[in-house]
Amino acid sequence: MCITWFIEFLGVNAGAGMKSITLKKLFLLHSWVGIITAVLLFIVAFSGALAVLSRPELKIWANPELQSSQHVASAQINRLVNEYHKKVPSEFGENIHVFLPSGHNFHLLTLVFESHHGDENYDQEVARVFQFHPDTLALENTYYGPSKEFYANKKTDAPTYIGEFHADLHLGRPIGLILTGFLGLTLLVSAVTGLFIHRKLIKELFTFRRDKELDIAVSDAHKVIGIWGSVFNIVIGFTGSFLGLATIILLPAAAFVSFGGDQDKLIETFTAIPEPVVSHIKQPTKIDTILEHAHSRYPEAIIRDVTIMAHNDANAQVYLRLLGGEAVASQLLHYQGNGEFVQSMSSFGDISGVSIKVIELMFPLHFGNFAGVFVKLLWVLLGLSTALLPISGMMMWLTKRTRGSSPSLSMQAYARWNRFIIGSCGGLVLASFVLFPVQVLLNYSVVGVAQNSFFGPVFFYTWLAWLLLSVLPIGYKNYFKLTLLLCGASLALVLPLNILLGVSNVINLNSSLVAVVDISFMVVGIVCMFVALKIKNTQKLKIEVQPA
Amino acid sequence: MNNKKTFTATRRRHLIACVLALVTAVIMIPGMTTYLPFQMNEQILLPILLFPIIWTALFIYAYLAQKVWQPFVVMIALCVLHGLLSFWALTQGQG
Repeated sequence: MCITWFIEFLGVNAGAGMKSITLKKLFLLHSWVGIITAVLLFIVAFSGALAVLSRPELKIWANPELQSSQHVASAQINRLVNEYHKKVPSEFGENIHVFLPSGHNFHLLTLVFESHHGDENYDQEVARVFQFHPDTLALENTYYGPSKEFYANKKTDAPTYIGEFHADLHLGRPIGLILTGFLGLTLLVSAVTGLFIHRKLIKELFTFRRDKELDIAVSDAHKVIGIWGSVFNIVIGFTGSFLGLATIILLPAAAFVSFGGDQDKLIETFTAIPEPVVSHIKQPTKIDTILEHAHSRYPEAIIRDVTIMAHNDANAQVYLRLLGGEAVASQLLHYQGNGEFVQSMSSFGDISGVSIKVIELMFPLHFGNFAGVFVKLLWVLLGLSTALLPISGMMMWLTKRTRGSSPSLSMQAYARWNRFIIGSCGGLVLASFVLFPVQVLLNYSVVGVAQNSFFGPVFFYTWLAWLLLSVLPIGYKNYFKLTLLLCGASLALVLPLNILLGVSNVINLNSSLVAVVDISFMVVGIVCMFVALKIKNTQKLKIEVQPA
Repeated sequence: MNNKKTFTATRRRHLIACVLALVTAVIMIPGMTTYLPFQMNEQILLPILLFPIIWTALFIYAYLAQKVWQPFVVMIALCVLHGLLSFWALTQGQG
């Protein structure tokens, strides 16, 4: 009785006998959300699909230092930490971070000696950093200054630039993160409403009429991709909204009551690495023994970084951050300084409960980095299919408005809309692809951090130029064909450029990963150009609408 | 499809879906930490995890409800209830 009254009060016609008015509402809602977010959703989904492979595969491809070696002997790491600890003032031994050259962090083996309370020159967290070539272990770079500045200005590369663009659209934080977080939420709305309005799921899962007109094929493709990818889209929407909004909205809101609004206190409570009590009794910290133990315990996992607290003190604590292996989520190994293994825990610390397990799983589920390169490739394909959904939806919406006895969209307006989609979405694809040959050129001509200043202008000016081209009254089919040709040419250029200028390439085979990536770029580039030329030759891909 | 026939008070629904649903979902996070019968970890993390689901449900509900006052009343009630719970928890020095 109560439940019936409550459902009536809510005023929703749901359940098995879902009324047609409810379906109409859901359809309209699906259309509105899709149209408003289409271009932004494409941008985030496409850059996300590329970002899946950014770490470590494409990062290794982009950095010749990483191509030569991603493994440094444990004894050498121990030697370097001890040697350079003696060279820094004592307060810098509070916290030592070792970033291994795994393709996940820095392109060099990086030792960061941190003083949380500053020093005589700085009254903030300050760091002395030493970076070594992963293969030769030659000192390549040093830094002294605020820790934040060091991490903010670290060397970037094309894949990392695209990965960071996916995270916050390079709009900075919090605006960029909030925007991508909300796009995750709208993807969730689109996926859920889409499932309701396409109720004949089984039939539509296998309906794709290729031989019909393009608009019918696009409509079928939208439904097939949407339904097959619905679980993926819901997972990506959910995890994406969480990753975008967690630190900006969700954690401050949660801290409001439990910690009196003190977000730092909340993070401190959940922090995995508490400060140890320094005993001032000397005892060598066995970094090499610890690294060897971790390697033997989790042979398939990658050690991303090591944190040493109270180095060479009897109370020293060592934490290793691992990725991969048998564990789905990243894990944190805790050791005593004498090499004794304490425990393996989540990267958020030793927190019990179901929620933390779900949060742990969000990262691998979003990044697709939990079961090797084949799952990553699957995530790339699914990510690209997510990017196609707003485009196909937009095409359906536009086509519908040019039909009937009184179309609401003229053919000129239809052409303008198409050019805008090609300029904004195709322009993003082109700008992303152009970064790869540019990376090869930069590796040849510009050293280290100086490369950072090139990616932004190349990426955004290419995108802007291509978007501005859409203002010109050119045929949108030609515009599309040209976009595809240039995208293909950009990717196909990588292999010959690497042969001419690169340290590793398909001829010398110094790095098999570089050879595979170069060949993959060439294949995708040729396919893009082939499809572009096919548009011209056969006229099969008509993006036309029948006039009323 | 004529949306004038499908929806009543479309502008107000947009406002409720875009603004009130977000405000409600955000206010519910600290409010829920006061009554969830779990350990502190779960009390804090579960509302955070539920945020995307709550927002999505409220957003869709703003459009699906037959009358525009229904989602408005539901969301205002949720806001007031969770706001008061947070206020009481803060004034009683919990957490």
